[in-house]
Amino acid sequence: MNQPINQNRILLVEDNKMLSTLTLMFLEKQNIDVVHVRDGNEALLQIQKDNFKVIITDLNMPQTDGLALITELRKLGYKTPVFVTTGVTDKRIHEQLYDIGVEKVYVKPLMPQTYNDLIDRLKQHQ
Amino acid sequence: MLGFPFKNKKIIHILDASSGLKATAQRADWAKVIFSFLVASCIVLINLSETLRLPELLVYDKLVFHSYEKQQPNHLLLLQMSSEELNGSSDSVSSIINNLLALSPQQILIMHSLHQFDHSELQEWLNHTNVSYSPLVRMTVRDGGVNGYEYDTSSSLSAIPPLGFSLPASSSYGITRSIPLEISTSEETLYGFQTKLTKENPKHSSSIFINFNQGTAPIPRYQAKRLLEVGIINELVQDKIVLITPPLDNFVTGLTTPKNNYAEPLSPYLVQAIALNSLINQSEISMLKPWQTAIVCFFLFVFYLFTFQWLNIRIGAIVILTSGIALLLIDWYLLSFLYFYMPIFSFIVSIIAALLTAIPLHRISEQNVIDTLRLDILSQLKSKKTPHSFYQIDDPWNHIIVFINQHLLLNRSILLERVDNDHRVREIKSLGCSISDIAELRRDYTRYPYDKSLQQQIPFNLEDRNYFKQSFEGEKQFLVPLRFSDEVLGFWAFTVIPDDRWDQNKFFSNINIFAKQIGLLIHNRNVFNYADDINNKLLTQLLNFNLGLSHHKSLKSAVDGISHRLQVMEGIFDGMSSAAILYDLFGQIISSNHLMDQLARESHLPIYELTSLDLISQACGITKDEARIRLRHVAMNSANIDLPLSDLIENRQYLLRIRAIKPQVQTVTTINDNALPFELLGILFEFINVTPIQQRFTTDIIAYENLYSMLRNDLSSLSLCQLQLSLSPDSDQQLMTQMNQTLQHCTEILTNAEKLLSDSSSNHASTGKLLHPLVLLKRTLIALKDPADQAKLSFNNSLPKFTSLIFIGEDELDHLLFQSLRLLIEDAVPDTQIEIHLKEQQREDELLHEDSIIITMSNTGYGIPQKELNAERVSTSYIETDYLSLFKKTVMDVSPWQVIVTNKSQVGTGFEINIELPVINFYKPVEN
Repeated sequence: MNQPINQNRILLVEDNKMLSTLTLMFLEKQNIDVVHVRDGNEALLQIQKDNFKVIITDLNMPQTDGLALITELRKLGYKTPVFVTTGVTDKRIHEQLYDIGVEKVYVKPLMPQTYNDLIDRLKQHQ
Repeated sequence: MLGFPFKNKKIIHILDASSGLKATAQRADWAKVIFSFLVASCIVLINLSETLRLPELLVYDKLVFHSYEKQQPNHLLLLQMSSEELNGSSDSVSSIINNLLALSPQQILIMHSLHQFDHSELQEWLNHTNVSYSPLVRMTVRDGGVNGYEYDTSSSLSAIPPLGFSLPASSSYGITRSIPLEISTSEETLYGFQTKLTKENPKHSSSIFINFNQGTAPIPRYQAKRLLEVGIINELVQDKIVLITPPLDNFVTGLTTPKNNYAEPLSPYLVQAIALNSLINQSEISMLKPWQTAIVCFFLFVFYLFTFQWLNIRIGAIVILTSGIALLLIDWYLLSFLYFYMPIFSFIVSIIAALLTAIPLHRISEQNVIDTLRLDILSQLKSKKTPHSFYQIDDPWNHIIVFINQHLLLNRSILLERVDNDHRVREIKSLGCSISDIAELRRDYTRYPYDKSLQQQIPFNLEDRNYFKQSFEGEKQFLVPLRFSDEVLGFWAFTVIPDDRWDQNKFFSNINIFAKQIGLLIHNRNVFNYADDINNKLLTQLLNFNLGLSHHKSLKSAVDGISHRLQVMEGIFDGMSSAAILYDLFGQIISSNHLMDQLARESHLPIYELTSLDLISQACGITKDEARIRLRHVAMNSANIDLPLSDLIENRQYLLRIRAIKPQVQTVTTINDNALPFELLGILFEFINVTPIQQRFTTDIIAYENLYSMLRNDLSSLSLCQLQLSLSPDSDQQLMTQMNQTLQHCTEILTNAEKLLSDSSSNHASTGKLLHPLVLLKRTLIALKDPADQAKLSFNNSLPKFTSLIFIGEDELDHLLFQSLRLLIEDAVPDTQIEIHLKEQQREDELLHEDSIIITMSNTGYGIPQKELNAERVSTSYIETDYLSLFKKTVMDVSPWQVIVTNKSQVGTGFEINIELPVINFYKPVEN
């Protein structure tokens, strides 16, 4: 079994290339060690390889979507804090996410102050 | 009156198309008329023969006894002289005569037997102008009957004729009521002294009914002895007729009269005196002659017979009682004041006879109505009636015969109907011929060939002799009867020239079907015509005893009305696309449709155990108080409300529409259009299945959400750029590039979305729209769940939560998914699973690569050879070709949207269908 490289590292799961690039730039500037993957399948593989402090994930993604990813993680016993950034506004899905242990659901578009809030929360976990 | 152009008994009925109510018309019924005529004749004969005379006289006697004692002017003095006084001394008699003559009487009339007088003195008295005698006439009786008359007279007095005779009063059944004014014997006519004294027979009658009611002051009586002893008051004698009679208190020879209710016999002399006074006062009782009574009774009978048509027996009895009492009172008045007796007993008997005649006629009419109802129901059960309007057009048969000939490829055709009450047939309509072309000239349906055709179950082939005058080569001639129920209404003669494809059995079968329908049309036409002719003829109804059938008619109308309303209601209810249940104002169920029954079963909602209030509460998931407020609003304001339903049935969305049902015609004028609560017919609950509508909206909403999601991502990107720029204004070139790209990205999305949405909103048949394939696939799975369950199959789905959008015709994709799954279900082996997978193909470069969504469906089934599956023309014995054809058609239909459908099949394995749907790329300019 592989040993974790950086225990403060966070995982970003986002299929939108532009947004993920900008998010990576932003988080790195905030001195946050981040790994980016493009969908749930990749994320599961990465989580099994590395130990992430926090996971930030989108919901609507090809292959394995965000909901399926979190469900699978919980099923596998991972209790990693998860933040969801999504364009989905359906409150029932939000409730479903909170039910499976998501710490916070951010509805896109995220405003600058929302990003600041996210950074604060990430730092609290580090 | 009885010579109406009636036809035989014929009960007919029509369907009124405008109202839906059936009216009954009935031809005049000879049997009823003859029966009524016979009863009327009996009444006339009974009255002419005076059969009812005895009871009539008994009623007369009672009325006489109870009649008002109106005072009659007195013109008489009864001077009673006994035999002893008469025989005692002739001087005393002379003295009496002289005393009387001295007081100037109008007339002195000696009523005694003449042999009691001294003839010489009598001769002398009679020489006075005002003195006369009136011999008493007796009846001679032999063999128990009157055979002549005799009276006492003296030959010595023959020179001085009597002033009429004291004719014996007539007795009927021992009661004296009348007196003859003259008696004819074989030798002479004897006139009563009353006739002589009143100068003439005033009413030219041979007898009169004596008016015994002379008032409270009777005719004065005086004793001869008293006259001699004390004299007499002048007024008692002056200008009076003095009748010298034997004493009046000899009851042995008295007559029983109605005057005192037969209690005390009256002296015959007193009866003669009362009769004389009656005649002088012209107060004798008048009566109708038997023929006059017969006429009045006849008219009474007819009048009451028609009157009783409106009434039932109970009311009829009350009418008779009321009429009897009224007649009795009138009769009492007439007798008391106008001295006229109406034969009330005969009248009442006539009225009772009318009621007793009306009862069986009523019963017959009731039976007819029941028969009509029975026939009507039978008729309706057999077929729907042709609308009334059909027969109102000028020539409906023209359309029919053209229609028949076209459908059956007939060469010539003629419809014949039976002439009513005749054995002949006549033409209704013909095509390609006319009735003059028929060689058979008798047109007699009791004879050949019509009688033969009636015995056949199939069209009668007229090949042995030509029915039509001219015959074409290869032409076959047929005759078929037109029946309704078991009644023969006419015949249909036609010819056909068979070709190679002519199938006789099929042809005969079609002919029989058409003949049955034509028979029904003729029956309904007859009904319409009869009803039209007769229904409004008042006199015919009168003679049919139908005028008073208000209760029968109302019963029939009510039954028809109820039947019609129920049919309409059931029709509407069952025809409704939504489940509906109608409650009364008190919350109890009036009716529901079959969709409601189905919904109740599926939702496990005990609808039939719930009141309307409970139903709202449970179905909508609200409290009873809230439900009560809503229900009250509907009832009080005649309002309609729509309520969303909580999850009644999985995967289905319902809307509960509550409507107040108002009467169409307001019975009470209200200020506004709202009906008062108690005027409401009920409250209708409609469970409207809005699933298809919601699905459409959901599809759109999800599609738009996906679009928004992309924009949200870009906006998030811009927000991040802004944040980073704010944190370090001298950010690097990379950030600026990213920002420009994001803006360009947003512009492209919006431009493309605008174009796609513009295309989606057009109504062109081939227009595509932004769709979320997952939603459509789930919808299809729900729609085919029941067929799959029936085929003992289950779906094994592997579906993601989210997919990208596609741009395609919604109906076309719907049909493709449906027919694909349908094909798999039909082919699958029972107790297996149908696999359904949906995945979005991995995108290498989202800006350039055309992504796709792949739906894979497979079954464990029988399969067909791949060669047959790939063949253009569907021809296989492995599976119902319809399913395969439909599947292939839907595959063709989606091809314009670059949908790639690949399918594999192998015998013994089943089918696998892959549907590749191109994902819409908003970053790529949309092609026009």
